[in-house]
Amino acid sequence: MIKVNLKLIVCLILVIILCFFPYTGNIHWTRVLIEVFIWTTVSIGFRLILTAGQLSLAQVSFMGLGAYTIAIMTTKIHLNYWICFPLAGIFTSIFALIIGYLSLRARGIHFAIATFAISEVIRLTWIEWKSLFGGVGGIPNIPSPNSLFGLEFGSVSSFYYFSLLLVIFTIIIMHRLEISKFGMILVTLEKSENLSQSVGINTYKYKIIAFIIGGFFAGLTGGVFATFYHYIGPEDFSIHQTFYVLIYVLTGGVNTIYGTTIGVFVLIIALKLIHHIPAFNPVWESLFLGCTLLLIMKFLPGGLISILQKFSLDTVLLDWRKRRALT
Amino acid sequence: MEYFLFFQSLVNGLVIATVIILVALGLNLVFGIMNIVNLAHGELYMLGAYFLWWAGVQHSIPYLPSFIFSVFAIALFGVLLEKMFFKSLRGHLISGLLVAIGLILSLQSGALLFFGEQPRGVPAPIILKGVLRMFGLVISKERLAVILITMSCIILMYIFIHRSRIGKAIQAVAQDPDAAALQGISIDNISSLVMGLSAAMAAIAGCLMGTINPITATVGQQPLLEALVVIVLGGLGSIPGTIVGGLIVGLTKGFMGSYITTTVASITVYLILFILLIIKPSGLFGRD
Repeated sequence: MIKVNLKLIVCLILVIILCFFPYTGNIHWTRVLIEVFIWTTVSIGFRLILTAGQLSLAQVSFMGLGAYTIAIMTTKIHLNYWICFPLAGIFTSIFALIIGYLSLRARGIHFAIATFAISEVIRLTWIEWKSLFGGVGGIPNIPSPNSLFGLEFGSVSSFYYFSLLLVIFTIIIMHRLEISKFGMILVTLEKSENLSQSVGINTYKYKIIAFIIGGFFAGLTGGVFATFYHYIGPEDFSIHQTFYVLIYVLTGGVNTIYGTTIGVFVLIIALKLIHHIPAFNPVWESLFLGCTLLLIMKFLPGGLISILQKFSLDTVLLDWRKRRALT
Repeated sequence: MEYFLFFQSLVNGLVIATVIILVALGLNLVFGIMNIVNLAHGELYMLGAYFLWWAGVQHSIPYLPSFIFSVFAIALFGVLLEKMFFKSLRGHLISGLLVAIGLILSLQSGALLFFGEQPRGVPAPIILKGVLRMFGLVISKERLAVILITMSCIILMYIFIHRSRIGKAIQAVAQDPDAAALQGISIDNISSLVMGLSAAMAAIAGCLMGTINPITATVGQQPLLEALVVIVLGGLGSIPGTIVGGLIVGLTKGFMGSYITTTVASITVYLILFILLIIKPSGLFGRD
C-alpha cells in the first residue's frame, strides 16, 4: 500500500511544480513543455495498442486527421473551437474504427505493414487533394481557440494549462483502463493471443477498442497541435514522426505509463538542448533519436524506467530480505 | 502518339518493376532466413547510390570500378549490420522492425551530414548515352541497360538459390533452421551471407537508379515501401511470388504514372497492399 501512495505523492508534487512553471516567465521553456505534453498524450495513446502486442505505424496519421479536422472546421466553416475539439476526437475514432476493423484481422508484422501503408495513403491524400487539404503547403492561419467561460486562449501560458489538463486527463483515463479488466486482457493478448482466444476472449473486439481509444486521444492532440502552431502540413504527420513517437515510448519503457511519460520528457528536453550546441544542424535530431533507439534496443530493452525500477525502494527491500533469509 | 505513350509507360513500368524485384528479393531472402523485416533495406539502396557518386564523381574513378566498389562496400556493410544488430534478434519480428527503424533514422541523417543536402547525380558511361531507335520507337539506352542488368541479376540469383550447394543450404535454413543446423549447416554463416547478398542486390539497384535519377538521402524510402508491397503481394518468403508481385506493382506504377499522376499511382499501390493484407495476409503465393 505504501508503494502506491508514494507514487501518488510524487505525481502530485510534479503536477504542482508543473502548474507553477509558467510563473517563471520563461516563454521558450513553456513552449517546450507544451510540446512535451502534446507528444506525451499521443505516446500514451499509442502505448495502449502496443500493450496488446500490436505495432501500429499510423498513430501520428490519426493525430494529423484530428489536426486537419480542426483546421478545416475553423478556417473554412468558422465553427467555434470548443465544438470542433471533441468532434476532432470523435471523427478520428470513427476513422480508427474503420481502419482497425479492417486491419486488425492481420496480426503482428502484417498489421504493422498494413498500418504503414494506410499512413502513406492518408499522407498522399493530403498532398493530392489540394482544394480541401491545401496540398504540400498545408493549411496556414489556424486561429487560436475561442474564449471559454471568460478564459482567453491567446497567450502561451493559458495554452500551457490547456495541454497540461489534457495530458493529466489522458494519464488518469489510461491508468484506470490499465488496472481494469480491459487492461489486463490487453496484456494477456500480448503474452499469447491464441491462448486468450481459447479461454473465450474475443481478442479482435478488445484490440479494436484499444485502437479506437488510441485514435481518440491522437485526434484530440491533433486539435491542440493545429491551434498551437497555427499551421499544419502533411510533413508534420509523416512516418518519421511515428518513428519518433515509437522512440519516445521505447526509450522510456513500454511496460508502464510512467515510463512512457519519462521517455517523452527526457528525449524532447534533450532534443531542445541539442539546439544550443554551436553549429547546430537540424539533421542531428533524427541522428540522435535513431542512435538512441539502437542503443536502447541493444543495451536497455526495458527502457529508462528499468533503471529506476532496479533502484526503487521495493526492489532494494526485496533484495535485502532475500539476503537476510539466505544468511 | 497514343501508341508511343503506351510503349513509354511499358518501358518505365519495366524499369520500376525489375529494380523493385531486385530490392524485394533481398528483403525477402533476409526475411526467409532470419525472420526479420529489414526496413533499413532502402537505406542500403540509398548508400549504394551515394557510394557510386562518392567514388565516381568525387574521386573521378571510372564508372565500372566504382560500381563494383560500391556493391562490395555495401555488401560488407550489410554483413556488419547483421553481426552487430540482427544476429541477436533472429526470429523476433517486432524487435527486428524497431532496430531497423533506428537504422533508417541514423543512416538517413548520417548520409545527409556526410554527402550534403543537395541532390547528387552520376553521369552514365558514354556507351549508354543516347537513345536506341527501333520500329519508330525511341528507348533510352540507360533504361534498357537497367532492365537487362537487373533481369540478369534476378536470373543469376534464381539459379544460385536453386542449383548451387550454398543455395540449397539457404533453402534448407528457410524451411527449418533446426533441422538444417542438425545437418551441419552453420546458421550464423548463412545469415551473414544472405545479409551480404541482399545488401549487394540493394546496392546494385541503388547504383543503377542513381545513374538515371538524382540521389538524395530519402531516395531509399520509395523502393522500400514498394518492395514491401511486392513481398506481401507475392507472399513472404516466395521468390516466384516476388517476381509476379514486382511486375504487378511496377506496371501499375508505370501506366498510372503516365496516364494519371504518380501520387495517384502510389495511393493505388498502397491500397492494393492494404486490401490484400486484409483478405489474404499470406499473399498470392504464400505458403501458409
